Amino acid sequence: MTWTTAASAAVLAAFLSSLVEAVEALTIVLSVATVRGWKPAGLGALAGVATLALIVLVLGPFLDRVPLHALQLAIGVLLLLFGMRWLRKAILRAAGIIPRHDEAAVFAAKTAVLRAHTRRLDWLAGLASYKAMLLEGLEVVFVVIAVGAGRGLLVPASIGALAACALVAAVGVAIHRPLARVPENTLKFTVGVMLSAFGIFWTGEGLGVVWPGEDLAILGFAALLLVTALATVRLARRPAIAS
Amino acid sequence: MKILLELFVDDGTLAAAIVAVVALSAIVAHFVPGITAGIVLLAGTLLALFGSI
Repeated sequence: MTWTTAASAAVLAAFLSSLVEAVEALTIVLSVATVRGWKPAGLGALAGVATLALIVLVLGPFLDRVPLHALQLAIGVLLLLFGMRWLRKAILRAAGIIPRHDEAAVFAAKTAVLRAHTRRLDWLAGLASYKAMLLEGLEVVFVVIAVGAGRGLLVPASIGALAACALVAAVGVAIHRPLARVPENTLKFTVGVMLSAFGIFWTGEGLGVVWPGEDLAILGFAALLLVTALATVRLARRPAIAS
Repeated sequence: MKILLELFVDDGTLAAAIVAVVALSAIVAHFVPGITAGIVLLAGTLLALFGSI
């Protein structure tokens, strides 16, 4: 696999996973803005982004000091845990065992909770926005580091993540509603497969395994994971749960 | 800390299975050179996923 192809895979994995996280963060920020106005929602979100930037600036330089094999192994195992968690949940949703994630329902629930606390100060609403941005953002930062750090692909992975966040923010500001039509489970299914494939690859590299085809092996892992996941959905399928 | 942990662990059995597969692969990689550890890792991961549903 050439650098360009590896970089494209990193961009795509970071873009798709960041898209899911950004949609989830946007839903909460919009629910805060709807009930309390844009000031606490915007300030909370900006504070969350600032905290994230601080975490990256403080911890980022340490990445260069970790031996490559140890970094690949640690990131590989974390990616496996992270990606398989997403994939398992996507399988359970696709099979109708647990309800699908509904951004419109999350939005309604969040706004109801905020409206129920009418006497609370705006900073509590801002805190909800801050927490959403920080937690979802941490997942984005992790994915960028995980798919980018092992082979010097941090820049393409960051570009993918930033593009997804910018796209979701632009659409959210334009329509002022949660992005309910995003096929979130399909995205999570795809991202779960991609991140787990990267996880198997990095873990193996960290253990000293020389994969046949080098980076190209990631595509083979993704194909095997996809086939296994689809077969599992088929075997476990139940009638869909409404919500 | 709990929130950070929840980023990676949802189903404890799946997480434990993944850690066990990685540990087994590490042991195999130590004693058997070549691709064997990679095969154990790949097959174990797929089995862990299938078994977690």
